[in-house]
This record gives sequence, structure tokens and C-alpha cells, in this order.
Amino acid sequence: MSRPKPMHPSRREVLRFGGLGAGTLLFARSSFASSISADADPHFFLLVVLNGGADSSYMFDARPLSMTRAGKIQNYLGKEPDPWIGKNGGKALSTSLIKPLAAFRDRFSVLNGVCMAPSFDGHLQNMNFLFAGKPFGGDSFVPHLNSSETGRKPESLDAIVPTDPLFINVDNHSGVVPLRPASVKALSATLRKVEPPGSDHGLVDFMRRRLAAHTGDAGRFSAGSSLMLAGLDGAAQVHRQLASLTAPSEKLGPEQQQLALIAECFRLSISRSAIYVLPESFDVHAPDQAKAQPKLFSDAIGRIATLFKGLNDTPFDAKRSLFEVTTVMVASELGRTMRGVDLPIDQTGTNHNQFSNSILIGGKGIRAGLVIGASDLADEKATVSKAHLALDGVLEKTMGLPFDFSTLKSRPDQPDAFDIKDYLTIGSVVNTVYALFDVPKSNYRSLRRDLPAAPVLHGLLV
Amino acid sequence: MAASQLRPPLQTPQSTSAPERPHRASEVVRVSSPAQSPWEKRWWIDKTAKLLRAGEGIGPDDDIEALLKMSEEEIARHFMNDPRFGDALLDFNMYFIGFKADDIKTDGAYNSHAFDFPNTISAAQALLSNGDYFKLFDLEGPLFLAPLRRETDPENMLPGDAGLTASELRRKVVNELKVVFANLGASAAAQMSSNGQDLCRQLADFGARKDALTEQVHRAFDDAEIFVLTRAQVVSWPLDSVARAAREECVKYKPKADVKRLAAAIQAASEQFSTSFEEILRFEPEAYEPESVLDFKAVDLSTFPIKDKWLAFGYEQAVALQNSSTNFNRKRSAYVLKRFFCDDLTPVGFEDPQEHVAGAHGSDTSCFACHYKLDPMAGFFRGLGAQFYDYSRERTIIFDDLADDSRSRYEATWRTRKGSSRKWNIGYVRSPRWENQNSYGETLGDLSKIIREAPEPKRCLVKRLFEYMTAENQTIDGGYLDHLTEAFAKEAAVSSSQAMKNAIVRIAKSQTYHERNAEPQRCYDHAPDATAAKGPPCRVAYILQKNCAQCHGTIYGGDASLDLGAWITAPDGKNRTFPHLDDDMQQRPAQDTITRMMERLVSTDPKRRMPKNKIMSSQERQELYLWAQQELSRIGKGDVQ
Amino acid sequence: MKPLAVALLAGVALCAAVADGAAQTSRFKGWAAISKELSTRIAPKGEMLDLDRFLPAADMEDLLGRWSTFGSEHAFQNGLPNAISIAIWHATLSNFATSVGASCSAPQLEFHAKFAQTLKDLCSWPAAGAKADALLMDYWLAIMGYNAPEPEYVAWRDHFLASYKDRPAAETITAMTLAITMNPYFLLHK
Repeated sequence: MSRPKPMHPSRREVLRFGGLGAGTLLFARSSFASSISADADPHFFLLVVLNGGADSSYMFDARPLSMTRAGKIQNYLGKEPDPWIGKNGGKALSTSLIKPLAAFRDRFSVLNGVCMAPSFDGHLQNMNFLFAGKPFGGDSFVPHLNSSETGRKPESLDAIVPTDPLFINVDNHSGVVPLRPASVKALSATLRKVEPPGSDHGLVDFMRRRLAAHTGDAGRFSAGSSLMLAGLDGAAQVHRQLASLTAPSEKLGPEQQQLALIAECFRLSISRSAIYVLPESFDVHAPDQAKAQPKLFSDAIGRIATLFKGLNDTPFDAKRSLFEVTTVMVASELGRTMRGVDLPIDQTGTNHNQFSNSILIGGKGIRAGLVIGASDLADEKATVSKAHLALDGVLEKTMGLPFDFSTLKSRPDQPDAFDIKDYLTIGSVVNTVYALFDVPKSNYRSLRRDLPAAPVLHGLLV
Repeated sequence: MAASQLRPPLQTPQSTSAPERPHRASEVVRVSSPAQSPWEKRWWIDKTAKLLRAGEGIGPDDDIEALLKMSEEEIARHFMNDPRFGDALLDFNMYFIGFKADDIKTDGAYNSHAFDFPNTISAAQALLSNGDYFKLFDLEGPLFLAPLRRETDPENMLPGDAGLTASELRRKVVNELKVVFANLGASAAAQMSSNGQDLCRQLADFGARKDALTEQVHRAFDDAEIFVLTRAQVVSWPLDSVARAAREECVKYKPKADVKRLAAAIQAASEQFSTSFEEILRFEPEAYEPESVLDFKAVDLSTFPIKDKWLAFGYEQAVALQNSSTNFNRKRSAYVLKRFFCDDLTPVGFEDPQEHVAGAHGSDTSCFACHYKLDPMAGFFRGLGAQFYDYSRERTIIFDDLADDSRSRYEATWRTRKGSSRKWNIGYVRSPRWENQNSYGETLGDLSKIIREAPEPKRCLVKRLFEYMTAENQTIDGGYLDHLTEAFAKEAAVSSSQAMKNAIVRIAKSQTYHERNAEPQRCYDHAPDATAAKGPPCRVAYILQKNCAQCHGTIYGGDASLDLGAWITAPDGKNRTFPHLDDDMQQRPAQDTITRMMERLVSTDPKRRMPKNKIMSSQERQELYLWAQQELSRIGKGDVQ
Repeated sequence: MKPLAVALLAGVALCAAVADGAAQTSRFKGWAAISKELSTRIAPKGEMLDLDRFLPAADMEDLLGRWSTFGSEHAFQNGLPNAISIAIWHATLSNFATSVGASCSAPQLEFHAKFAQTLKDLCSWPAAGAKADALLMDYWLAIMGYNAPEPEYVAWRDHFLASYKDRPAAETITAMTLAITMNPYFLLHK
């Protein structure tokens, strides 16, 4: 019986960056428009998402080949990893695949052994956990970075999404807007021909009056009218901003166009953040998929490197590059197990691992070049704590080592029981970003309902 | 629609929003609709027209004056006799199952999406012809194929296909494979008296080309159509049947292959292939252009090689509800619970099972709060792998992540322990403690039967109808919902179609439906026997009354000095709370009371869990818990009620 | 104008399920519903107006409120008003309104006979006949339908009788149409 052919909406073919002159200046024009953010201290956020649960052992949390020979962890790259030592003395092993990123090691730090949603290992639950801190969803952290409570004037939008979207359950993404390079050209051209709201003051005043007449009541319609009124007040500026968008050159590759659009949106104060979802899917349960990881990561890392280079080379203004005004975070929702159960080590896929994820973080406000955190089972001889065994008795997964938040170093002890307070969690990573953007502490993520906020990684901040 | 026909002279502007009043509890219900000005009645008529005519409100060709003379019920039933009502019904049905689209038609023609959910179509057709509307709950049944695509996809075409229309290409690919079968048949006929080795070589070559031959056929169809072809096995079955016969006959140890048998297999495969595609090509767009839902025609499934009922989960659901090798059909299970039982699986708590539950989730009580419902429901899908493909006759099951597993090992997840009266731990579980509250089964047919017979789906259907007609998340009083459901269920016992129409009329006449500016947290409608009383917020008033107030109905002499039927100002003067006295007969702070309530709702200790020794529906427990959680959060933020 | 399949996917924004907080407000009806409403009222019977051409770009309707499409359970996306959706609505409806106003001199869209007549009469603005209450009511109801309560009409009528009393027809009708279509009763669902 033939296997059913899995059918998905066809994906775009992605052109290799090298052939397109990766990293060259993304702007056609040579001067900078005057519509730069009036903010004296511009600060933006770029979240790069690896969708599906990326195996960090192919990047900065690698394992020696001896472990593969011992049947503990699959490794389809087949090469011994290299040490990756942080300026803080933190150690990790990196694969050869990360070479394109090595040029930027003074731009980002590596966080290993990050614990995601302890009680869930599903994609959606952990993606919700990444964004909202709760497995069933809630308020996403991204719009909080654009809140007026930070003391900074909000940009028109909380974030743009120039790529394929993510499926998550979040409540507050009305200001997170899909905006594709393909639509920018027509959009800005049309908006240049249409008067923004407010140019005919009499008419827009009338519209405002009609909206205002319906606000103030407790009903749904009144609430909607209030939102419309607030939207009308901001619409003229957004209209002008979008009208002044320059469409990225069609000669650029898709990813370069997306980055050019992000850059424009930052420079024109259209958006505080951008969420960039890589087109690769990292969910490699099947052996054939897992075997393709070297190429998968080679492509993905190439993309990330091009993003980094683009950020580096793209000016924000006469003095600063985009990288200098943007905090960048590269994350997946999950890590992966070392292998599947009951399959030969060279014929196995991997499953989900919520106990050890790797995150790259860099750019503005971040101390670069550090290695923070680590995962256990560093080699085939390593032992694990009872805490690990309680959660993963078959030792399919690596797990973050207990963590000292004051020194930002992994602890050598092996706890008998799992206590979330002992571990580096995504909550701490998000709270660190919050601290960087001066988001009020009332938004900080707690480790659990009955526990205090996840500690900020102060040593990671400049 | 001339103004002169329409309106009386201009009057002083009237307020049309609900009058300002403080938050109130239940009030005496008004069974009849409130008196309306002609202007407001026109608004109601237009709104109802849009609802029941698939978005097409009152237009210049409608006789609004004639409609104004009719009662609201008459107007609603008038619109339900409109041909466009079928589209409105299909739209609602798709909303119910979670796949509503902006429009089911474009430029007058049905979008292919509209054909993707057979149970929604069957139910709509049934209601329009006074049949069994509960076909909506059937997870197996007919297949409604969309008109085949009109455009070719250049990406998949071969050089020789250039210039062909989509229809021509389809016929070409069908003929191509027919020719292959014909050639094999001719070879077989010519080798009847031989040892068949030459035929065996041809068949071996044929077997090696199976995938290529399949792709050749598929190039003329789009993804949704290929989904049908694959599930129906209209290409794979003929190819596999010939390959299987060849494998059995053309073996080394056999000096002579049974050519007659091989010829028969080829002939049967060819006939089956032709029959299947003759049926499929009946859906060519030139010949099949349905103008209404009633025109949707079902495929004659007897022309397909698989004789099972068609699964109601179509192409889009196959993508949206994927089952990975580690998911164990929980996504599909959660979907059924949410859509058919209105159970969003909020992890509130559970009763201790009377026998020990092993496994990762069984031993972890916080996980078990959801999994006690989720896992047994998931078992209904145990034989369905990637894209709901039926592996129940296979040894291996392949999942949507392309991993595979032994089917028997996989299905063992749902086997009961030795000594159990049941073979499988599969069903709709209301209580892990009291098994007699649960409905068990094995097959999707059993699940359909459970959904049809259980009270929860009917209540869920009425609730979704209310949401569809008013607003999502508009609070509905539990008593009112029960009243609507009771009437619906009673009428459905005679005619489910009529019951559904009556339910639409009832909601269209409700106060909530008449509100222009409804407050989301306010209940505007109540059961006929509801009485005016000062009580808790309407969102939970009925739930508390039904489940809690018998024991917690007074602070004097009642349990825990707690009155869950009343709602008073809290000691802080800002919030409101239940009367609840501490040991010193002092009113407890709101936060204290709500926290204790939440703890009792989620407690796994039978001595503390509330309501004590009583089954509370998980939907109501969930609603009450969520409300309490939000109340606590609101109090914590210092928001004033 | 049909959005690209890929751009369509982009419309499935990051708000999948909307929890209580966000759903306490009316949302936009969405471009599809608005198009259908307008077509029902002013297009020839059984026909749809081609309103997509007024969108500023191919996939902008995704930002105006729509049911999410292929690949997941459907939820209504981008329905909450914000600055960008208002900017896009304004641009789109401005284009539509301009087209209606320009129809005074040359037809831009194919209208129902009744609406065409109403518009023709209104195009004599600022003549007295064009300011008749009955005609203004006809025009209001043609665009707004019965969505709004009477005071909205009164406010709209009074504004244009006062502020546009001497302005040219095309400009006035454009402004009238835009004022109606940017009214919350026209755009918001429930």
C-alpha cells in the first residue's frame, strides 16, 4: 500500500543568499529620508523564530561524536564539534554549521539549557509559552515593548510580520500586523495618491464627533467606537508613514526584501518590533527528516547570518547601523530529544524536548560574546540528577543544568527534585528583554502562579 | 426603498442604546420582544435578513413595508424560506465545526472550501428538506466533491500537456493509465498458454513505476482533489492490486505463473479505475454547477474501491488537525471536545479515579485534569494516521510528521487493563470516578452516536447558535441556555429541522438580539421561571444556583457560612463578593472567598472538592473557575467593579 | 482582486484565539461582509460590485478583518480597530467614495437602477432639489442601510446641509459617502 503523499500548501522556493550578493546594502537610495524616529534613543526588537522545535545540537549545544558512537544522540553531520567559549568563561560546543555566524560573535550571546513549558511538550503550548508565558496563551510580550509605560513614545504598530505567520493563542496582537514586501509597493503608491484622514478637517472632525458620541457606554459597540476613535487619531500618521515606505527592490531575494522592509519600518517609526519566521520546519520526527538536518540548519543559519549582516550593514541613521538600535533574539519553541526510542542511532528521528532550548540574543543593550547556561548529558559518561530522572526516566532528553542567577553560571549540583526556581527559563529571558525595554515589572513573568518573577539576567545587559 | 414610504416625520432623536443602569442580577424575563419604533424594527429586519440570507440584507427589491406588517416570527420564517437560507445554514454549520470562512461563494459560484465538510452539507440539506439536521454530528457519511478545477497548474504539466484545458488534461491522464492497463491486459491475453514469465517481467516493471504512474494521474488535479483520490484509493488500489497479484504469482519458486489469475487482476483493476473516474468526472464544472446547497451532489461511493463510509474530516481538517507520532490524536480529540461538546479543556481539576491510573499523565494530577477527557476521546481516532488516512488494516501507521510505528503497539495506548469489562478505554468521559456517567465506544460511528445522544452537544449547538446570532463571548445566562436547550431537545425528538428553525426564531426574538450595544458580561435574557433577585454576576449565577446554592444558600446555619446566592459589597468597599463569614462572624474579603472557591473547584481530595459528592459538568466547572480566576485577577489589579 | 495564496496565508495573523479581554468590543465586519452589504444595496440585483479595486494593495483586506483561512481552525483575525486598519479602511473607502462622486459625470460602477436614480438626483447638488430630506434619506439608506439609528442620519444630514451647502456635487457626494462608510454603525459588527 503506498503511503499517502503528505500535501501542504506549496512553499516558495528560497534562493541562496550567496548568489544574490548576500549582505549588500539593502537600500537602493543613498540618502536617508528625514522621517527618522524622533526618539532620542531608538530601540527596536527583532524576533527570529525557528518553527517546529530546532535541535540545538546542530548549533551551539552540540555533542561529541563519542556520544553518537555510544548510541546516545543522533548526529547526521558526522563531524566533531568545536569549543565555543564565551568571554565570561561559559563553555559550549558548536558545530561547523555555525561558521557563518562566527563573524558576528561580538554581536550576540548564546543561552543554552533554557527550560520552556515544563508540563507540556506540544508545539502550540510551547510557542504560546514563548510568546505569552502560558501554555494556553495570553498576552504576548511583543506588544509590551511598545507600550507607553516604557517611557517611550509608542510606534504606530507593535510589530510587523513580513514572513509566514505563526499559529499561537495570544490576546493582544491587534497591533501586530502582517506586512509583506510584495504588497508594499502598491500600498505606498496608492496611499500617496489618497489624502490621509484629517486633511479635510471638517469631515474628519465630523467623523470624530460621531465616534465620540458612542464611546463611554459599557457596551461592545461603544468599546469598538472608542477603538475606532483612537485608531482615527493615529491613522493620519500611519498613512503618511506607509506612504513613505520604499518597496524593497525586487532584485533582492525574498529574505533580503523582508529585512529591507523591517529596516524601513523601524526607520520610519512604523513599528517597534518585527517577527521573522524562518521558512524551514525543524520538526524532524521522521528519520528521513532528521537526516536532512545538516542541510536544514545550513540553510537556516545562512539566513540568520544574512539577517545579521544586513542589520550590521544597513544604516539606521548617519551614525548607527540597524544592529546598534535593535535587540535581536533567535529562538525556537522547543529543543529536541537526543534520539527516538527503539530505533538505530543512524536511523532515528527526534521528538520534543521542552527542558533544554537554546536562544541567541544580541544587539542593542546586550552584552555580546557570552555563553550562559548549559545542558546536562554533555557526553556518554555523564550522569544526571534525580530531578532529571523524575521528568525523563529514559534519558531521551538533555535538560538544562541548575543555574546561579547571580553569577550567570551553571551550578555543579544535581538536585534531587525538580524545582523551577533552580533553572534558567524562558521567563528569565523575556524578563531580561523587558528590563532592557523598561517594561514595568507588573508585566514580568512569574515562574509559577505562586512564585515570584523569573530573575532578570542582569549580567547579560550592558 | 423610498424615504416617503419609510418614515414618519423627523422626531427628537431617540436613544437606542440600553439605558444606563448598575450591574444587576437576574430580572424577570420578558418573553415577548420589546416594543420597537418602525426605524428600529427595520434595523431588526435588516439584521435578520443578513443573518438568514447569507449576508444579504434588505435591498431595493425587498418590500420592507410588507415585512413591517409581519410579526418577528413571521419575518424570520419568511427569510428561512428564502433560497439563500441554505447558504446561511451552511455558513453556521461551518462556524459550529470551527471552519467558517468569509464567504462560501465568489462571483456566484461556491468556493471549493464549501464542499470540504460533508456533515455540514448533509445537515444543511436535511434542514432544508425537513430531514435530520443532526447529520451535523455524523463523523462518517457521504462525500461531496467540489466541481473539478477549471484551471491547470503549469508547474505540474508535462510538455505534451501544453494547450490542454483542465478538463482535457483530466481525461488525458485517465486515458494514459487506462492504456497501461489495456497493454498489460493484452500481454496477459497473448501469454495465456505460456509460463507467464514475460508478463511477470512487465508486471515487475509496472510495480516499480507505481509512484510515477500515480504522479502522472495526479498532475491533472489540485491538492484537495488529490486528497480525495488518495483517501478513496482510486489510483492506488488498482495499481496495488495488480502489483500484489504479481508478487504472489511471479515468484522464483513458481515455474509457471497463473496468467489467467494475473489477467483477471489486471482486468479488475482496470474496471475499478475506470468506474471510479467515470464517477469523478461527473463533477466536471461544465456539467456540475450547483446553485444552491440542495444542488450539492454526493459521490456514489460504491464506485470507489474502498467501501467504507467517508470520513467527515476533509482536506482542510486533515491539515489543521494533524496527528504527529507523539501527539496520540489529542489534537483531534481536543477539537471534538471543543466543537461538539463546548469543552475547552481548561485544566480545572478532576475527581480521583477509583482505580489507579498509570502512565505519564495518569500519575501527574495536573496533567490528568485534561487528559482524563482528552485521551479516551483520542482513542476513537487510533487507526487514523497522516491526513486521517485509515491504517486500521495495516501493520504500520504513518503519522503527519512522517514518523511511523507499529499500529498494534500504538493502539495499545488505549487498551484497558486485564479484567476490565471493556476492551478499550475510549469514550466521552465525564467523570473518571463514576464510570456510569461516561459513554464508551470503539469506532467513529460510536462517537457519532454518542454525540447525537449526549445532552452536551445539543446544548453546545444552541450555545453556538446564540453566539453566531448575537456575538461570540456574549454572556448567556445558564438558565436561559438550559431553557433554550430544553425546548430544542424536546422539539428535536420530533423533528430536528423544525427544532433548529424554532431555536433561530427564539433567539431572534430575544432581548440580547435586540440590543444594539450589548454589554458583554450582561445577561439580557432569562428562563421564563427566573425571578428577580439580587445575586451574583449572571455569568455564573445559574451555575451556582444549580450546583452550589442548595448547600451554600445562607450564611446562617448553612455550610461554611457562605451564601452563593447573594452578592454584596465587600469589606473594602470597592469590590463585590458573596456573603461569607469567618470564625468571628466577620465578612471575609472578596479575595479570600474567591481563592477558597477556586481551591475547592480544583481540589482532587474528594473531601474538599466541590460540589461534594455531586457531578458538576466540566463545562460549568470550567466556566465558574475561569470566572473566579478573572475575578481574582481583577481584584488583584485593583480594578473596581 | 484575489489575494495571492501566499499573501492569503499572511493574513492569518498572530492572533489565533481571542480571549475574553479582546472580545469585549465590537470588531469590524470585515471586507467581505461590507462588500456584500454594499452590493446588496446599490448593485444590480444578483451582482456584486467590484470593490476590490479600491483596496490599496492586493492583500490589504487581511488587515480589515477576515476569517482566517486554510490550515488551522478559523478565527476572525484583525477585527479590532487600530491605526493601521483605520488608515487602510479610510484609504479604501476614500477611493470608493471618490468613485461614487465621480459617477456624477461619468459612471464608474454599475449601480442598481434605484440607486442610480438617487445618485443622479443628488448630483444636482447644491440645487435645492438635491437637499430635499427625502432624497438625502434615500441616499443615506442606500449606503448605510438600516444599520444606524435615526440620530445618526440626522447628524449626517445636518452636517452636510450646513458645511457643504455650496460645494460642488462630486466633492459633496464623495464626502457624504465617506462619512457614512466611516461611521461605526457601518463598519462595526457587534
